[in-house]
Formats: sequence, C-alpha cells, structure tokens
Amino acid sequence: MKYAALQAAKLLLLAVLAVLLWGILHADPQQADFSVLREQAEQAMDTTGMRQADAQLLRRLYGLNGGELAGWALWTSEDNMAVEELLLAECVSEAQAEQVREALEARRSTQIQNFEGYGPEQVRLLEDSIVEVRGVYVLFVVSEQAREVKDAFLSVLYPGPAGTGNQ
Amino acid sequence: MVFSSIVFIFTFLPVVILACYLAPVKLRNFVLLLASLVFYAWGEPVYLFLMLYSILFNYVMGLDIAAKQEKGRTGRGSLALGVAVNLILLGFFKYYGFLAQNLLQLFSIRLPEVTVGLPIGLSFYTFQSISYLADVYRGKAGGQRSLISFGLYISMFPQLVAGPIVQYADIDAQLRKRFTSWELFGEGTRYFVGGLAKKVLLANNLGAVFEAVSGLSSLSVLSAWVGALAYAFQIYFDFSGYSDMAIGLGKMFGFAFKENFHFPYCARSITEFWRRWHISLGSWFREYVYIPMGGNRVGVLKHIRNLLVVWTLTGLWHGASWNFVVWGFYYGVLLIGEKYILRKAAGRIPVLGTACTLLLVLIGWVFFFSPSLGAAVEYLSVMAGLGSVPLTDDAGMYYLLSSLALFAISWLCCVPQPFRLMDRLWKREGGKTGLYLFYLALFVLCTAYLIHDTYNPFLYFRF
Repeated sequence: MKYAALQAAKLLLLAVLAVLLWGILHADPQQADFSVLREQAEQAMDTTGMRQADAQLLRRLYGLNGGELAGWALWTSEDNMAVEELLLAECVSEAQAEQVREALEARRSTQIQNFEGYGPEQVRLLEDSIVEVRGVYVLFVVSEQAREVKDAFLSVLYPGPAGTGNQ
Repeated sequence: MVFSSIVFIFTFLPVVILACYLAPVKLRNFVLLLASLVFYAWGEPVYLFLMLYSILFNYVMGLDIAAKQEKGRTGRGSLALGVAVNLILLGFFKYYGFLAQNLLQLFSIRLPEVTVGLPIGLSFYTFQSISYLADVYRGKAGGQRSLISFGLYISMFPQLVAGPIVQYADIDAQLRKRFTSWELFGEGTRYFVGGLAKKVLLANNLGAVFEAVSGLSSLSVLSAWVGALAYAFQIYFDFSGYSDMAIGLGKMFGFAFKENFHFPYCARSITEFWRRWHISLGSWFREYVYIPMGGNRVGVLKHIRNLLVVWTLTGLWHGASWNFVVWGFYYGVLLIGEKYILRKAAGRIPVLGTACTLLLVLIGWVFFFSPSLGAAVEYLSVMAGLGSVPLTDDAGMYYLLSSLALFAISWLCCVPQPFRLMDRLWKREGGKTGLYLFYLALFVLCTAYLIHDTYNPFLYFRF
C-alpha cells in the first residue's frame, strides 16, 4: 500500500471509530411495547408482599395524573414499613418524562427523610434505588433487585446481543 | 460456540479440518480466517463488525509504522495512536460501565449509559493487536502485508475467545509457512481430548460442587473451605483445559502455541506460581508493560511501583470490578514481599513453600469468585472461623465426603507425575496403543457428558 493511501485509510478508520462510539453513546431507545416493558420489569423483581396500585395512589404518592400518561404501572409494598416500589411510565413527550423524573426524585427524597434515623435498611434501599429516563420511558425501582430491573428495562429499549454495559 | 460442545466437535471442527487439508497450501490461511469469522459470528454476529474493524485498523497501523521506519522516522506516533485506539476500544466496551458507576457513586458525575455487552474475546485480541504493533515498532517483526494472514493472527479460532495470548513475533513465521504432519495432528488430537476431559469431566463437576456450596444459606468453616477448594480446582481445569484444547487445535493446523499452564499448584512460591499460571498473559505484561517501565533494572522504589502497576493492571484485565483490582494488587504486594523480605526463605523448604503458596492462592480466588469486596471479606472471615461461625455442619460434611474422590483425582491431575508417565508411554511403541484406547475412552466419556449434562460454563469467557 502506498504511503498516501495508508494515511487516507488511517484517517478513514479513525472517522469510522468516532462515528461508532458516538452512535453507541447517543443511541435512541427503540419504540417499545409498554406491556412487554412492564412484563420484563415485573419478572426481574420479586413482587411478593407488594400490590398493584391504582391511579389514586399514583396521584397521592407522586402527584402524577395517570390519565395524562400514555401508560403506567405501579407496584407498592403492602407493609407500611417496607419501601419497595416499582413505577414504570410511558410519557407522551420527553418534556413530560422530565417532569415525571422530578416527581420521582421528590418521592425518593421524602421517603429517605421519612425513614432516616430509625430505618437504616430502608434508607439503604432508597439510596440504592434507580430512577432511569430513556426517551419517553421512565423507571423508578426501590428493591434489592433494582439493578436487575434496570437491566430488564434497558434490554427491552435497546435490544442488543448482551444487554447492558456494566459487565 | 465453545470447544466443549457437540456442534463444535462433530460439525464445525471436522468441516474445517477437511476444508483446510483439501485446500491448496496457499489458500489455507484464507480457509482458516473464514472458519474463524464463522466461529466468532456464531455466538455474537453483532461484534463481528468490531473485530473486522480491529483487524483493518491494526493492519493499516502496522504498515504505517513500517512505512515510517522505512522513511527513517521512528514511527513512535503511529505506535502511540495504534495502542491508544486499541485501549479506547477495550476501555469503552469493557470498562465504561465500571467507570460510569464509580463516577456516579464517588463524584455524582453522570455519564451517558452505554447499552452494549462485552464482546467475547475482546481482551485477548486487543492484547494481540498491541503485541503486533509493538513488535513491528521494535523491529522484531515486519509489517504484515497480507491482510488475510494478519486477519488470521487476530481472529484465529483456536485461541480467539480465551487465549493463549499469542505474541506476534512468535507466530509471524508460522503465518507464512508451517509444517503439518499426521504425527503433529495426532499430538494435537491428544492435547485436545486431554483438555476436553479437564473441562468436561473435572471443571464442570467441580463447578457444580462450588455452585452448590455457594447456594447454601449459611456456611460453616468446613463448607467455605470445600467451596474455595472446588473453585480453585475448577478455574484451573476450566482454563488450562481450554488452553490445552487451543494448543491441540493449533497443532492440528500446523501452529505451535506456547504452553499456557505448567502445573501451577505445585509452585513453591507466588513468583513461581505466576511463571506457571496463564503464562501468556504474564509474558505479555512483562514484555509490553513491565520491561518498558524499567522492569527490575531500576531503584527499589521504582521497582515496587512497577510491580504494583503491572499487577493492578493484570487484575483489572480480568474484569471491570474492584474485586479484580484488589486481587491483582494482592499479588503485587505478595510478590514484593517475596522479592524483598522472603527472598531467601522462598523455596527453601519445598513442601512448606507449596503449602503456603496454595493457601495464598486460595485466598486470592475468594476475591476472584465473590460478587463484591464485602462478600469476599465475609467469605474469608468464615474460612478463618471468625465470629460465631460453626466449624462444621451437615452440608459441609456432605459436600466434602461426596467430593473427596473428585478432589483426589483433581489433585492427581494437578501434579506432573501422571503426565510424565503418559509422555513416556507415548514415546514407547507398545505404550501408544494403550494411550490411544485411554484417550478414546476419555473422548467417549466426554461426549456422553456433553449430551446429557446441561451445566457447561466457561469461566474465562467473560474476561
């Protein structure tokens, strides 16, 4: 290969690398079937001792109006001393998803304040909880299996060969 | 695709052997390259693109370094760029998640989430690529002009997914011309079947013991030791079995890969252990990191720094987790202790040396198999009997007694004497027939296991 051709090939390959990495970092989530998203997330979490909540509880806990969302599912603990929660939401826009995120962060802070001082295990779970916003999809999970639920959530939105990157 | 699978042994391998031996000598590299790409794509077709990119990029960079040196320049800039791109790829696909997680936890800095998995074999072929660029730069090998030969070096299926890591200078000549014979093919088959038996008959069964102990709701001192011992044997037979299969496959196609394990559990010191365990990785770090940093030809402080850097990196190479970092650092500290404090004592009483080494290696494996640092410390405290841990329990006794025969056979396969005996028999005319029958029986047994057993993991795949 001639020297000039080598230099050109080198530049081209570096450009391909930049595009590849940029593409992976900025990949948009796929349009997901909310029922699949919900099924996968629920399967990844042990929901023993939890119940599915209605729109009234969604409004009371998060200040969110279920009717304004494209889809949602909420699981809460039956026991008042337990903090396990799972909320999945499909919003109508990314701006709404951002509002939902703020509501979830507020709920998390309130819960940490509620249990601080006498419920170290609950506080640990809340501190390790996950709020994840991908496009119009939002996840909030407080559970020992939070990481697994997040992986399931991402694997539906980004169907790849090996799931998420934290390996 | 894994070597210890029915589809590999009874379909892929026979087809490739046939195609390779029927093809004209000039086309054999091409046939092997094609087979290697199919082998890789079988499991993860998406990451085939990444590997093809790596092949093309390093091919161009190797030629670029050689071209610059022909023009009287050093080519150092091209080497630096080539190494940097390889490390970026490795870092991005292997360590990005780890970095993002730690930045978030320590400094509340949120990086974009990366939703890709770790491409199989990436750690191995990245190190081979760096070896190629460094060897061309140092003049130990010429820039490979044939894209097919270079592609084969990076992607060669026998050592693609779990090593051994082949340094380019060691294989350069074999890529151009190599020798095949029925004797070599037979020796390769022997290696392959031996490795398969280590993996299927020993590692898988030891893995089942380890899994069973790990699944216990509470551990006694005894059960913790049984679990750690089972894992120590499992990882050795798993990885050395895979390496033996890789070496055997290489021989079948005319390649001579260097030995990757040499009875590591017989080592009389940690230094000796690492000369016997994953030899190709140790050689790579020595050649491309330790010696360029000055090796041991520097002052004491710099030498200690060099050792700690190399061993922390060795740990990190095994996985993106603090466990592996601590595991590597642990060996760095042990080696420094051996070199500067126990220099004369190490190896003086062989049996004691081997026992101490085994104990320290066993402690190291706890960091390796534990899901977190906290879990490792907890497991070690159970092994040490700290707190109110019972010395024995029914489960511990059950797993010890039911695994005694397996442990005894495993230990026999960890020492050189049985293998020396087989080597002597192999060289004897009458002994060969007996060995053929022995290996045939092993092969039939492995096949039966593979058909009936669903538990067939490969520990080193994730690295």
